[in-house]
Amino acid sequence: MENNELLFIAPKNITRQNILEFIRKFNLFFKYKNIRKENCYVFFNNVEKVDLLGILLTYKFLEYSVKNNCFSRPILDKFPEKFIERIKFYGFENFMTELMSKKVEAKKLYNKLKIEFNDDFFIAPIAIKKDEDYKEQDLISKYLPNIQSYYENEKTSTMIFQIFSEIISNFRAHAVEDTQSIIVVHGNREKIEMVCADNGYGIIETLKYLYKNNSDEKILAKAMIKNVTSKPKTDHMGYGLWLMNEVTKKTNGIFECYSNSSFYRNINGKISCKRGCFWQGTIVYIELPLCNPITISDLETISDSKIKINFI
Amino acid sequence: MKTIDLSIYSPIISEQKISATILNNIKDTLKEEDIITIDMSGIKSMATFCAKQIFGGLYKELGSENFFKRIEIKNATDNVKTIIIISIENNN
Repeated sequence: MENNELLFIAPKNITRQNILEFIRKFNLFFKYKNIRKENCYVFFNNVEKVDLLGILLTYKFLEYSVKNNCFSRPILDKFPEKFIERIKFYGFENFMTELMSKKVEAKKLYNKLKIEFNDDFFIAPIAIKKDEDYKEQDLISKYLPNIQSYYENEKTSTMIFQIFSEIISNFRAHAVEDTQSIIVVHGNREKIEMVCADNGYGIIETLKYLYKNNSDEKILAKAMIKNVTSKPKTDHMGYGLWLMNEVTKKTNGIFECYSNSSFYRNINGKISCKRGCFWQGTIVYIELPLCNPITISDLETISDSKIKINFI
Repeated sequence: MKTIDLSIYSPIISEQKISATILNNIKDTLKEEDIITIDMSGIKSMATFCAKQIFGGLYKELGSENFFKRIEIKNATDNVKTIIIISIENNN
């Protein structure tokens, strides 16, 4: 390798358990925004294992570099067969193909949506957009009823929808710089995974003005507390991340949030919040077992509320 | 008495534009009707942001007494009832 060459080599495993290693190896992408760096080489040929989170972040890195003119004529080595199989499995084939060929502008890629029901189901992938003419409700009305039929248990679908609606609402409201957050969902009868990623400001950056004397990790930990929001005195209640975290705790699931320089993990009730490596924006990963669904009415008591409402 | 049917937005209400439309529809209807019924049939969940925008805003504008007298909420699941109540509490 010559001195002016930039080499990105993906690790053997791009999975939730190893995701920090992948981010660490690739986050130099963010430094090259609008630089059009020449002599850039990207290799995925060593990858043996990749999961839903790994595929999404691979896509988001590549998308970022294209959208933000990071490199001039980068060389992307051919993906190995196993990797290609996973790209197809999670519904990213069209996205990757078109991104690499640059035949279509990045934002037009989001018009291709897919939902499949076999033994598992996927919603792969959906853009959460801020464009004026984008109709999220059309998407919701089209796809979510299928999930409702798939999960016959009313409470299971309610739990899934609650988390889904908070993720969408949060990424849409808070991903200011990035108009193209992506959410991907994979579920079966036993569990559901939802992953969402953007390249916006990130949670820590948006909360920093409220918690100036706190470390980044402390700020991210605070974001998980009920009523903590970067937009107080608005309709934002600061419930989204808290709800995801609490439902995860009660169902013994997995919730991971990576934002800016830190990450928060809740894995089977074990919490950690540490300095990690830099990601421009926010990544939310949630995996919920479905044997004991939990909804907000299990978490919040309203019987003592003084609010009188005419429910009929 | 008029009914505002939200089932067209089912199964979730998560978009700010949608909740703004719903709120405006409710407010416009309240100019013509003394009592309105909001039918939540098919709504399994709402983003808390949307609940606060609609119900928190409405409760604040009408006041607790008028909200109770003039707004009926029909076919809300326990989950949706909880979200509505906490969104109003959060706005007070």
